[in-house]
Amino acid sequence: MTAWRHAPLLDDAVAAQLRADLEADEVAEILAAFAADIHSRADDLAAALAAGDADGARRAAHSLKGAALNLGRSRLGLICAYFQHAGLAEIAALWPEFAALCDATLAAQGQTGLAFGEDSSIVRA
Amino acid sequence: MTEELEQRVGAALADKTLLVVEDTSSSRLLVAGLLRGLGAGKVVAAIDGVDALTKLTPVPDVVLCDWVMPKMDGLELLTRLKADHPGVKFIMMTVKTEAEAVIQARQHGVDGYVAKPFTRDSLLTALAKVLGVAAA
Repeated sequence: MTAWRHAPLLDDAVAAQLRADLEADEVAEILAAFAADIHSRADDLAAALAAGDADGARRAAHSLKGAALNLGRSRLGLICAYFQHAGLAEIAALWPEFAALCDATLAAQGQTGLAFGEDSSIVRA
Repeated sequence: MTEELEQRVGAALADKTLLVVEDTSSSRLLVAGLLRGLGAGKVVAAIDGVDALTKLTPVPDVVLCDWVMPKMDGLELLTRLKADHPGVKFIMMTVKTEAEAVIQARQHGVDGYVAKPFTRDSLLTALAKVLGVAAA
């Protein structure tokens, strides 16, 4: 149920493979885009929770899961995978952990965290 | 993955136009970068099925498309593309590997799959299949 807590923040093998397969400027551009993806999908997820929109929450989680796992951001990808099948109340309860995970993932690649940090008030209508 | 297969696929891709349809920008850039690295002549990107329909001039040789997207999903794009351009090769990039989903996509004319999370090698394998390139 909480498999993401045992997953690495960053899968080193995936990161090494990306560096081998792509030019350095391409990797930098992709990571910048991934930071934007985290922000936009976290916003989408928060909005869906506030609106009671279960389908919207699943779509946001699905989208961020794919992007995260493609780049070896395993812990973030796996919590999103869990959210795809969780109820809104459970996602809301896990929001502080999700927000902290987004921040940690961004910090690990030298980028700014979510503006709302771990404050779960954003998900309250 | 053999170097020879990479060379054959690279040669086959050199004069091809590939359309990447993916709603997350990082995944879109990742696929495009990997395709360029494999030797693709031209890579065009679209953010969803609706956007993809505006980027069919020239008609792409190969479409690599996410399944779950807002506005128009991969299955609907596949159906529309195959109706108007049956020669376009269509690769679905998806975590939907369950038998029912695979059968559904086959019925709509999909040519290949790449399971997510994808890698350079999984893209290479799918491209080799749809382009009819085999290792000697």
